[in-house]
Amino acid sequence: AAEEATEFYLRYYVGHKGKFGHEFLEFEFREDGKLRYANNSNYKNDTIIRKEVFLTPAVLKECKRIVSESEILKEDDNNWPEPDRVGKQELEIVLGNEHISFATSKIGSLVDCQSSNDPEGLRIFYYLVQDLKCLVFSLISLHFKIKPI
Amino acid sequence: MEGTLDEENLVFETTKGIKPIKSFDDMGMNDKVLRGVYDYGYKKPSEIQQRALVPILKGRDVIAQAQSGTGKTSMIAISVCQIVNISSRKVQVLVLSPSRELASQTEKTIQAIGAHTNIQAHACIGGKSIGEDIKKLERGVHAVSGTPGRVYDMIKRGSLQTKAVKLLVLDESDEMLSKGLKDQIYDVYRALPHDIQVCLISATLPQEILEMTEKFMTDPVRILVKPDELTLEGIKQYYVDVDKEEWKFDTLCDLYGRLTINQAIIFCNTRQKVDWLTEKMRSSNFIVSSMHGDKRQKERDDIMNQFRSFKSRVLIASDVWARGIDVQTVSHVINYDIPNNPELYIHRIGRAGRFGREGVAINFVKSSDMKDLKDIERHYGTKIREMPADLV
Repeated sequence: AAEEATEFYLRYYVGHKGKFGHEFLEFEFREDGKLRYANNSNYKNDTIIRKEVFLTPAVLKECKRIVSESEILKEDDNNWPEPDRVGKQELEIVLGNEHISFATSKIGSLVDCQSSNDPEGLRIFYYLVQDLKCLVFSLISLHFKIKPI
Repeated sequence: MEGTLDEENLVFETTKGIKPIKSFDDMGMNDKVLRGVYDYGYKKPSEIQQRALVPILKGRDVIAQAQSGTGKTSMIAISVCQIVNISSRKVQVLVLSPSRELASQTEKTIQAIGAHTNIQAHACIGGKSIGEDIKKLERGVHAVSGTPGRVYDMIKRGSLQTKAVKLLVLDESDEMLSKGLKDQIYDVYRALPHDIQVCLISATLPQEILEMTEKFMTDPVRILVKPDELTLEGIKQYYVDVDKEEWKFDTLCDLYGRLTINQAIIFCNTRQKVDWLTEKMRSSNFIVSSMHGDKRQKERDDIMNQFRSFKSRVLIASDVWARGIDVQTVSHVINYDIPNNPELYIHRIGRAGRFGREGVAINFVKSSDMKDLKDIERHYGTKIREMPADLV
């Protein structure tokens, strides 16, 4: 119960600027349960997609659990690769009285983590981001996608 | 949010107020066509069929987008069968497709669904005898499913009479309206009656294609799917980090031994690569067939027949196979090369997981392609996981 009362905010961004404009994916979880999602590309004149849903306390609690069990809050991004021309990732989390705001380059696969100056920390970040993305994509599709068959 | 933009661009959206019709019985089809639909194995219309069929049958211009393998081609076939007047032996519907195999698949679907109606459909495709085409067309058919080059040829020769054509369907329409094919389509279009009904069908319809439709469609009914709702839940997507090009082949051989494959398509980006990989696989004693646009039509037909009849199980193919081809037993799609654009990715992996079935897509990614794969992933709001070692 103590967990539910703690302050919570999470935002993730991955993107780059290139020939199809500013292409990015971004989502944020807010304490009131609002999940916001944006997916932008100007590829073949595409425009931004935005979606918002409200999550139940149970889902939000699960999200907090994923974050705290990842132990990401114990990491810092000092030795992570800097954002570069290929792209940028940002992760901002407020959980209770802890607050992190990380920025790094895009990570292709685990190999990129291994070869960095902070393989342990970056791997935690890499896996957490995967889990969060999966959670968000599932929530968004559950809410917006129809079964085509 | 950092990246948010506040532009209010002109956005094409699904037409408001479309009512899904939940049963084929309620779509106003004649009994013979309806019987054909049920005989074909359909019980209930898919989501796209529930929304797009009735507007097509009512004569509206329609832009219909839906995920791969959700019954778009059969929707075309149903429309064709319902729309033609059997008692007049004139071409009344023209369906254009980007590949010969797809055009003849559509023709066969029309014949199957129209089995009780005496419909005469003809596949008018390149690589076949021109003489046969002329003979068939001049004897009279109700519907033509073809590729743009041969169809235009037949129109120019006067063998394909266009006066009675009331419906033009562009299947895989984003491909048909792409730079390489647009002019040919326009040539055909100009030869058709002015008040023609036009339907565009595809799993992928980028905004720039939708913008183009303003020029030749009248108040179309639009059924659209946003890119991030386009991937199918039934297709599990993985990638293998192969680092370098040289390591792809061994990875493929290794997979071959580990996976339980029902039928598989292996996509390469060029015809030369298809030939090269085919040779290399064969010299390592794998049994594979291969297919691309440089092969003679007779050979292409044989390969298709063997693959469809399950006599061959692994097909190495170029993107001529990426769109529309329906072989329901395909369980695996392997992208030996990452496709050159995101649309091709959707179409390629959509060769598996037909009509609600399960499928697996595996992408071979060398370091320099990782960026493209991640872009595909973001574009479609989907997760392509690193392939676990224990996947079977």
